[in-house]
Amino acid sequence: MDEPKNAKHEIIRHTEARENTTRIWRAQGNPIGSAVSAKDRRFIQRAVLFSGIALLLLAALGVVAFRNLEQVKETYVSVLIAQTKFTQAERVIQSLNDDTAKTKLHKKLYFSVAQSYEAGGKLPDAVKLYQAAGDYPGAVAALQRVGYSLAQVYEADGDYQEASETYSALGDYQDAVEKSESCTYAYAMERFDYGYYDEAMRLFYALGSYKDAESYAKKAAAELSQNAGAGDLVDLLVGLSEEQLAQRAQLQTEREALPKNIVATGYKHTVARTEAGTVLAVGSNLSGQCNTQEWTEIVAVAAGAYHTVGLHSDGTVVATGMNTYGQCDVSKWTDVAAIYAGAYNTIGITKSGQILNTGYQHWNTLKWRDIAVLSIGDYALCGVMQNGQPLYTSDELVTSDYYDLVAFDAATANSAGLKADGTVVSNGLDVSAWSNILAIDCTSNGIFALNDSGNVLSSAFSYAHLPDVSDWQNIVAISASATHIVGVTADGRVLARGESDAGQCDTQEWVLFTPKPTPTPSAEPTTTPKP
Amino acid sequence: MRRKLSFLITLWWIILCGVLGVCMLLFAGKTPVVSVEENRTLSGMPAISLSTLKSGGISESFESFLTDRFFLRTELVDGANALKHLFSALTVDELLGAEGDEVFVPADEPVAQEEQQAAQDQPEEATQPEEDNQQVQTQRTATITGDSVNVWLNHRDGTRTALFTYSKEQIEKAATVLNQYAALLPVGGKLHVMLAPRAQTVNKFALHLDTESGWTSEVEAALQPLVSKNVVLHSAYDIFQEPILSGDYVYFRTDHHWTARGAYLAAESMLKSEGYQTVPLKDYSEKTIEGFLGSIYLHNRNAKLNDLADQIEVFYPLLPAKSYRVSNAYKKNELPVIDETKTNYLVFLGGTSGPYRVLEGGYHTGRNMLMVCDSFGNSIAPFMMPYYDDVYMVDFREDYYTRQDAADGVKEYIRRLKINDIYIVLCDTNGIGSMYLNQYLPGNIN
Repeated sequence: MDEPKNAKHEIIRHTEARENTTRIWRAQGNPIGSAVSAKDRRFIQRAVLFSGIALLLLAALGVVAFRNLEQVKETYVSVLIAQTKFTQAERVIQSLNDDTAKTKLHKKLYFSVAQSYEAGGKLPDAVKLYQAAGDYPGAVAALQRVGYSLAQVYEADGDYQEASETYSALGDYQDAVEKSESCTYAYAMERFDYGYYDEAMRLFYALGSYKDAESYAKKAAAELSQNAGAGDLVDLLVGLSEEQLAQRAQLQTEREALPKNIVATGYKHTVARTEAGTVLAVGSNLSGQCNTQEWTEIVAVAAGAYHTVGLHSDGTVVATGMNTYGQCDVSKWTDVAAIYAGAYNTIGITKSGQILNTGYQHWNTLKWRDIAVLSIGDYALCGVMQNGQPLYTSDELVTSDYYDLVAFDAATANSAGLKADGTVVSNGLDVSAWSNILAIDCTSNGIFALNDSGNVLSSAFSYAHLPDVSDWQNIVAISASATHIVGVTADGRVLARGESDAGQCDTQEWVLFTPKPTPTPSAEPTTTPKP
Repeated sequence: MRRKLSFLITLWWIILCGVLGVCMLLFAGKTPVVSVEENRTLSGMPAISLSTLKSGGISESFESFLTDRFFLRTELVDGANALKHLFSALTVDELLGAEGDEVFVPADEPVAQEEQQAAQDQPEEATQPEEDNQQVQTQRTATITGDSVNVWLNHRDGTRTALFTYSKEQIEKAATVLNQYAALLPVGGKLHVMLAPRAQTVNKFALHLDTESGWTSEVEAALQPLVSKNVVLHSAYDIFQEPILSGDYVYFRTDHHWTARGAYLAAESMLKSEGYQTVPLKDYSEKTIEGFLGSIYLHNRNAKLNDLADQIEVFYPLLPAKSYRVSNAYKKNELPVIDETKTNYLVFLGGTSGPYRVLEGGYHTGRNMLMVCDSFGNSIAPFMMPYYDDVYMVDFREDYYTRQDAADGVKEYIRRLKINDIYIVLCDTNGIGSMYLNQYLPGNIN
């Protein structure tokens, strides 16, 4: 269709169905004709103008809302929580994208719900939610407060076992430790009164020197001793024969004659303390764990996986090597009597019996008392009380045979305990044939034991193998890692066997001390060892 | 008046379209991302080049970009799905039996162009899609012949139904492959094998304890005489029967994986069979993630499964643990052990990463292990850390593994990484008769 150039016209389309008319303006410039009036023009101009303004306002609002969508939602959640609309708040939290905000709001929600439970007297539920609230401001304090109240309720109800556990979980809050012990004592007394002597005996025995627990442990043992095959613990508490006492005293004397804390093994390094108070070290020094050349007046050494610790004669402690988790932060320790090193931890026990711990793991040892010796496993802490009762942070490490101990060592989930009678118990290996053992070292692959003849016995798990040291003689101290073992001979030399890829077994030239005359065993014992 | 209204509507419609277009261009993601909800990679902004313009690929790419990344798309897709399933006649059991796919996680370090090309040039059998594998078998019903081996679901009325049926040839082929791997180990090394059911199978038992009494697998007994002495076969069916009957939460309901608790049970069983003293689960610190709807849910996204939403228990390593991607037997970039940013199964190790991966648990035992696995390995591997210095992992599926990236075969890795034991942990779709077991495993030895 040819159209005249610049012609202004309108195409009028008539539809048969409807008699209306649609005008399509194709002409440039102002519309013409009766359909377009100045009124229409004004309308269009205003519509476009206001639409533009509205659009701009909407866009600005949209941008602001979009950029702060998460914040808007977070504020909404806070409002919902304040209105105690917890379910609705939970739903909004779930819709958030920001995991950090999500976690934060969840904690707030748990805290608020816990508060409402607490107000309603639902203390067990409140405790759970306060726990879930984690580090939300006030949650820890509230957890302790409610936990304490809950424990008091249990105690008042006579549920001493539950009360003891609840108090125990509160750590050092107020008098929770003392309360926990008193509840354990009360529970033990209850079991004793009901005639459950075996359980009572073990509970009293575990309480050590608390009140008259020792006396009641013996009373319970006496009741049990009337039964045939009552068990070794009963025999121990009721009284040992003269022959047994003599053997124990002999072994104790021999143990005391052995050099202590003279040699230690890390993952791929070996350290040893000399008579002169210096420390020798070989093996991997990637973390500086062998930088002990300048140490003097050292009376004990210990080795972690990648660090070495030394105890000065003045009770201060020095450490070198990996300090990623603070395992070498011991410079402020004073008055330390004994040191222990785990893979990523260092522990010191002060002369007053306080446990100092630094490193990756944090164990709850508030209830530990009468500590005779400690040992750090791969992830658990264990020890022995003065009465031979084991201390541990993982139940898996012990069996019912673990009592009357003088040493307790753990690796991963396997452990070994040295009993006062020179036998060894283990939670994974059968070492019941061993006797007259003076020292043990437990690794993830098995157990090494030093007997009174100066030989080293070993027992490996079926999946592993240990270095063969059956030919070693006159050994007075041992220390083992998973892959190597060192033994100090009576003449001060250091034997080593196993993997030596970092030179950790290069101890051939070491002489730690000049031999001393072997001490004479003491005469017949006059007292019964303190159970 | 009508004309004015018509004008206004047209004007606002144009403005709305314009605003949507601008919003999409401004706010839509420009780079390809993995949609966990849809389990696929969403398209990114197409690259404009002469070749794409010439071939017309640019328009297709732009179309994909528009469809995948438009503004508020996820919300709209969710809404549409909800509407669709409102009228769905599928039962919960049917929905729980749906195939759940792995959530694909792209490699952290993109494979080089030439490596991708080389991977495409691999022999056909090594790059076939996984869908060909065991799914057909999982659909089979009971057909007992003298030459087949079954996994049975035992009903309380004394009857039983076959969950899986394997032919004699499939069993023999599996034994051959296992023996090949057992032969790679040093003296004293053990090959542990566990073929675990997926939740689709477990749900048939665990959610119907009123009618089902247990299950029995004949597979291990059939394989035992055919494999070397250093191959230890573990029946996941035996391990999980009692926990399931006791109502223990060992498998997710809406996701095809086992829970961390189930993974722990599997690990504990394998380790105890070797005489290990295992770390009790209660010694681990844990956190829980509520409201997890996994792969089975995502297959249909049916709201009926919302009530069965799962809970993820995450157990933290006891010692300072680290994880690294391993290529050519060397450690590369660090990866998470627990990915705190994830609220689904990817929380475990942050998902699969190839070609190899190592977990360093901080323990010192003098032994190393290799776990050949699929994604079931991601939740079980952390529980192996206390017993080995280094826990190596490899997932041979093509999404994660290329021979070019690995540079060497398993045989050489075992030698170079001083591997003592191998654990093969696979779910039923990657088990007997599957592409994984029959082709990926033997194909990557040398």
